[in-house]
Amino acid sequence: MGFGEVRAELGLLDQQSLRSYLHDRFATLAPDVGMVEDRRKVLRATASGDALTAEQKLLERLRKWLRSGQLVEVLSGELRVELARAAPLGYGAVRAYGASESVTKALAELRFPSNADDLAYAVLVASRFGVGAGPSWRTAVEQALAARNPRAALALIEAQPQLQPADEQQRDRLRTQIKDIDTRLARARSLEAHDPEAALSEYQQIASYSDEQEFEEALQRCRPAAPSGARAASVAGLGRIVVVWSPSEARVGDITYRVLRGIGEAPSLAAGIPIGADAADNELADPDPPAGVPLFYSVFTVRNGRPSDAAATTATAVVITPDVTDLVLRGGEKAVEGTWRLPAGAVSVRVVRSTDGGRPVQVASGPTGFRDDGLEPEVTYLYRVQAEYRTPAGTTLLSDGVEAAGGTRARPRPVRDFVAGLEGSQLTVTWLPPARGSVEVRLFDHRPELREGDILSAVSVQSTGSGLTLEGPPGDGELRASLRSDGRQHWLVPFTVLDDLAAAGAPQRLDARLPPVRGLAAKRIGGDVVRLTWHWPGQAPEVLVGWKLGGAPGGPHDDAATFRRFTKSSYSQDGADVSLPFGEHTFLVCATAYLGGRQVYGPPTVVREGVRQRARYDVRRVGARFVGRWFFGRRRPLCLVVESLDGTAPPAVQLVGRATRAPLDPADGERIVTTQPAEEGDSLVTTEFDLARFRGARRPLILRAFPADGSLGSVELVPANPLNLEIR
Amino acid sequence: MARSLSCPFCWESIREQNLERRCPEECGLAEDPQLTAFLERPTGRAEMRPKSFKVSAAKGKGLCPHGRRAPQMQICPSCHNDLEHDYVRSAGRSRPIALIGASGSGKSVYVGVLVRELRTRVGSDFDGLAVEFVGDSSRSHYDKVFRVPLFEEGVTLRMTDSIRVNRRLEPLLFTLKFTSRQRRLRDRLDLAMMVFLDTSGEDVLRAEAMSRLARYLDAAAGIVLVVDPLQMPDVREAVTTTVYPQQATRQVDVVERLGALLRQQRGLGPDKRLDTPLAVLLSKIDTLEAILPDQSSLSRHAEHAGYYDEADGLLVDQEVRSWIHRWYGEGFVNSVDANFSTSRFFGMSALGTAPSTDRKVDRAGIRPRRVEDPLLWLLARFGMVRRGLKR
Repeated sequence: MGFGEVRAELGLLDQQSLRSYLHDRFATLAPDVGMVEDRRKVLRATASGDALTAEQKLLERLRKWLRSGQLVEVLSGELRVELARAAPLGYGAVRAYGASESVTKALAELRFPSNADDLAYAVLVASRFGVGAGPSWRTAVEQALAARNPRAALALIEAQPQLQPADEQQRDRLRTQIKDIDTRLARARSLEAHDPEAALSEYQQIASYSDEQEFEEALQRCRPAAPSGARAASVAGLGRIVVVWSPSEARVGDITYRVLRGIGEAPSLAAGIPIGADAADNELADPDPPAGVPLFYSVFTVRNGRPSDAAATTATAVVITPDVTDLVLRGGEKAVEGTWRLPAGAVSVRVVRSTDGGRPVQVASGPTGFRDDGLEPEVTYLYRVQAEYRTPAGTTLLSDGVEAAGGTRARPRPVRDFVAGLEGSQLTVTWLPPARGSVEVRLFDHRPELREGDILSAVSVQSTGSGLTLEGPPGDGELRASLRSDGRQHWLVPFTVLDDLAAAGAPQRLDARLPPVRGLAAKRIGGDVVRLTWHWPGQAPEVLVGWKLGGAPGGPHDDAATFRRFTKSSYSQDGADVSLPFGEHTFLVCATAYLGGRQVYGPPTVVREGVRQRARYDVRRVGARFVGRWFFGRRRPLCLVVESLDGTAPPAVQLVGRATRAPLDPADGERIVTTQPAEEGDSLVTTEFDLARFRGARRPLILRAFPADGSLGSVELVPANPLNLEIR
Repeated sequence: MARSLSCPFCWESIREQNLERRCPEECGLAEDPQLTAFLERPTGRAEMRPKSFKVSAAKGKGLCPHGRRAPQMQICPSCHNDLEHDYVRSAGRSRPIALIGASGSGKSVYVGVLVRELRTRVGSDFDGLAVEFVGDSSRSHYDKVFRVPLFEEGVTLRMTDSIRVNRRLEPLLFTLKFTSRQRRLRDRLDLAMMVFLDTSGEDVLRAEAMSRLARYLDAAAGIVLVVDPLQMPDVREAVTTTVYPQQATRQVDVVERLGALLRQQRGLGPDKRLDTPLAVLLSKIDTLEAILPDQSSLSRHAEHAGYYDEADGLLVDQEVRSWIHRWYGEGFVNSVDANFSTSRFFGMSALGTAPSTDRKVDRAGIRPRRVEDPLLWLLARFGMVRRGLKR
């Protein structure tokens, strides 16, 4: 509904405004609904014609406005329109109207501010700029300045018809600033020709407070200088190329470098392949350069995204020849196979095999593997694998090569020193772990048809005999198992399993009647005697002791070994001391008995002990006794005599002396003389010495010989006559 | 000519004619004050025995004063202990060897093992050397105190064992019987009577002149002093073993007191050295293996093949003297030399290996080392075995 209809109805009622109608009829600008209804009732009774109809309509509107609370807004709008009519007449006219009684009264009733000056100013602003029509021109000025556009800000101010004094001051400042900008732009322009960096610096300073279009144009015109000294080198083993350069002289703007790769020639901006993003540093790695081709690199300086016209280029080509990767060698019994991954660009592979001291041999190879047949078993070879590349010029390049050791597979070796002991249901098995492979022990109820050293497939071991019921995980060279005691004999066979083959050890018979010998120990007790001690095995009537120089006796019937039997009584009374020749001996000890009319043996236990090299020494006077002082004119000089007791060459010894006490070790006295080792075939060495340094020392002077430093612990020196070692 | 002998119990010197015998039990029992005093019985616990009478007072056919046949066993007139017939008969050739050593030094194990070694291995090397106990008492003494615990039960001897305590006053008597070295007397045996009395070093420190212990030591033809290296503080720090001693006696004090006691007993001045040969025996050398030098003579076994190896003995003597000097100081060796004109140092291990912490000997058996050396040295000095020097 427009207010024009209301104004027409008011005109029919001879009212200038709704405000005057309300004052006339209701004496207030805020009648209530009841007052409006009363008036309608009165109107029906007293009025007629158009006036009646017009007022009835007006009352109806009035009732709606009251109910919706819009009456105040309608009245204030009516008042604003009345005031705006006076605006073209100027501030004074508006103020005078606003100060009229009817207006001030209405403003008071409507609870609006009633200051005449404020009212006039507000009306004039609203009439000039409109109410709610967007930011003011001042806001636009501020926005232009914030966007570093002083020229736009000045234009806005100058477009206003009237300016406040403050606006005029701002206008003047902007005019000065723009003049300065123009001056600096002219100077920068003049610098471009001979000092573009200085020109850009000037542009940059201007741009800090005025966003001049010319700055962008200047950047386009003033390209950065190119870097210098570009070099490229491959990184050994990594298949990468690192490009380094000296920085550009360009200083202004955001300076970075763009590196381009080219094949066969230095790349241009248009043809080169960029290697990664522009770099801020002076180094960039080409992570994935193509292999086997000559590579050149160009480095451009980039300023604010605009590359330099020229570039620094690498002078020489770089060619990378990556090695094969994931090289794996697998040894067969008489062959070695190798596989690898061929790098991109490589066309073939060269494989060379070598051994210690042997001549290198080239091995036929495919691009991703080889098989080298006809090799010696259990030999380790060194294989060198080089990738081959073909350059565009047709030449062949080789990579540095990858080396790996691979050997033909070792055959499994039978287990040695395998000892099984059964006590009750407790089975204990020990062995000397083989150098290669694992050990699987199998149980048999009868003597197996196997001999030591038999080779069979590893798979077949599982179907041979039966497994043991282990008590805990087996150790390295030892396992414990429980074995049902059924009064029968059993056999155990140790298998050395290596890859897909297994070697049988010597079958070992188990007999609970002859338990193993435990606590076996051998100890050298001086001279050529070794003392053996052990825990007597259960109720065994005898123990057999066998020994052999070097390795263990092969069994109770080894002809090369020496054997002695001990009863419990003889062992208890006399022990088991055996005299041996010089050298390391291995002893085999087992229980033995006559059972069922034949000699049977318990599981053997072995131990090693050696007899040291032995030599006797003495101190004597030189020369025949009868010549004595007559010949020498003084006491005959002394000599140290060292004599072998076991046929070996006498060792080098040192003679040490100490006053009143026997020296216990070489450091317990003063060294007098050291003999040299005897020559081959000599069994006696004589060395003269004197005791001049002990003149005046307390007596007796007691001498002892000790092995020379290198042979301490390996030689036993026996004094021939201790009285000769006391010098009084 | 009337012979005299020393009672192996009270060590009083007795003329043979003064020996006594006892009446048979039919003659009745009476308090025996001498035996009661010897056995140190408390008051009111007197030993009751048949009465005694002098052998020379016996009536014809050995009848007692009551006219009854008296037992043949002779008794010491001083302490009234029984004297075995063989002891009395061979007392003139008796060579008592006194063995002393600090508590826990291993002297009892040493005796137990020595006797067995003499009866087995050493006996074989010495042309049938036989070892026989004198009387049932010594045999029983050896069996119960030494043989059964060591060789059957496999445990070492403890100072607090009740059997040892009860028998501490009883001497262990055994005779060594050698074939005579004189060709014309091949049918005759040379005898050496060995007397072992469990005597600790602490007893020596407490003993007074004229006491029973002083008489025992005075009567000894040779003395073996057992020295426990583990009672030397430096050694105890240097080795690891299961047999650390519970107490330590200053060995040098024992030597000095021993010398003073014997000089006093014999009426000698302090400027006189004793002529009784002294064997200083370093025990438990198996525990010293870690600190014995590479060329140690103690690590070698001795080869006394029918004679005492004098060269080996000299080497061991010099080495042990040096060893004690290094680990225990000069005082001990000097004290020995100052008190005894004849001494020699030895080393031995009676068991061969240290027992476990619960006193069990090694299951591999007892493997003694050099236990016979001191005895053979003394026997060689007595002229009972030959000695060899050159090797």
